[in-house]
Amino acid sequence: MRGSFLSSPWSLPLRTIGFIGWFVWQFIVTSLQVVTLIITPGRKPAPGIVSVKMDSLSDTELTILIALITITPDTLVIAVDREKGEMFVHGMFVEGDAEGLRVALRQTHDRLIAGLRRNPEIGDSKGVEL
Amino acid sequence: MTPEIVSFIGSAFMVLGAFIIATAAIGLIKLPDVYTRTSAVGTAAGLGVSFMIIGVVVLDYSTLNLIKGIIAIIAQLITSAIGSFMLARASYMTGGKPVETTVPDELADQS
Amino acid sequence: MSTFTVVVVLSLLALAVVLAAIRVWKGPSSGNSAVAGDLIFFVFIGTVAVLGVVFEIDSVMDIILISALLGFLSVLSLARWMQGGKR
Repeated sequence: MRGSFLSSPWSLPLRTIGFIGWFVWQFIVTSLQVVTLIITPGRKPAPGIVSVKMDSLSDTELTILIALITITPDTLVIAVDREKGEMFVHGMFVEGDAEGLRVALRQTHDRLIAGLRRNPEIGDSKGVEL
Repeated sequence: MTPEIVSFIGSAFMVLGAFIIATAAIGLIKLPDVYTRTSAVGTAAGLGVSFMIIGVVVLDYSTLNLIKGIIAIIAQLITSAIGSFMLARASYMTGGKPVETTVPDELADQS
Repeated sequence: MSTFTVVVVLSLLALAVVLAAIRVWKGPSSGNSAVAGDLIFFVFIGTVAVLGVVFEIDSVMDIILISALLGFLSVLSLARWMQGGKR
C-alpha cells in the first residue's frame, strides 16, 4: 500500500503540499508562542543553544532547512559547519531540555526530506540539487 | 459577502499585524540578548508583515493584487529568514555573548 | 477602513518605531542596533500598506513587493559591515 503510493507520480507533489501545510501551521503556532511570551508580564525566556548533526543533506536541502528553521521565530540558526555537517541552533523555549529541541529539529529534517525527495528513504537516495 | 464584512475582516488583519509588530518592539526592549531579540523580530517579519499584506489584499481585492500579495509574502519570508541568519551569525562572529540564562550553550562549550 | 481603525493601526506602528529607536540608540552592540533597524523597516512596510489603502493608491502592492525584496539587501550589507570583511 505504502510502496504503491510512493511510486505514483502524484506522490511527490502531494507530499510537498502536505509539508508546506504542516510548516505554515508550525510557523503560526511558534509565532504566537513568542508573542505570548513577550506580552505576559514578568515571564522570562529560557533560551539555549544546541548543536545538531545534519549529515546526508545536499547543499540545496541544507540551505532550505536553515531558512525554515530561522523562519519559525522560536528557533534560529547561529552557525553552520559545512565540513562536519553540524549546525548550532538557538531556541527560545529550551528550558534546559537540549534533547527535546534536538528531537524537534530532527523531525523537521525528516519531514523536509519526505517533502522534497522523490524517494524519501533516507540514505537510499541522493539529495535534491538545483 | 457584504462590503461591511469584507472591510471588517481586512481591518482585523491590519490591526493584528500592527499589534504583532508592536509586540516585537516591546520584545526588543524586554528580552535580554541579541539572539532572543532576533527571534522577537522574526515574529514581526513573518506573521506581522504577512497579516498586513493579507489585510491589503482583502481590503483592495483584485486577482492581480492576490498574486502580488502571495509573491510578496513568500519573498518577505525568505529574505527575512536569510537576513536573521546573517545578523545572528555576524553577532556571534563579532563576539556577541548570549545571556547567562542560556542553558545549555553548546556553542560556547565547543570552542 | 474606519478612521478609528486607521488611528489604532498607526498608533501601534508608532509605538513600535519609538521602542525600536530606543534599542537602536542604546545598543549595546551593533548587532542589537541592526536588529532594531530591521524592525523599523518592517514598520515602514506596514505604514505603506495602511496609507496605501487609506489613500487608495493603486500601486501599493508593487511598493510592498519591491520593499520586501530590497530590505534584504540592507540587512545583508549591515551584516557584512559588522563582520568587517571576515567571513
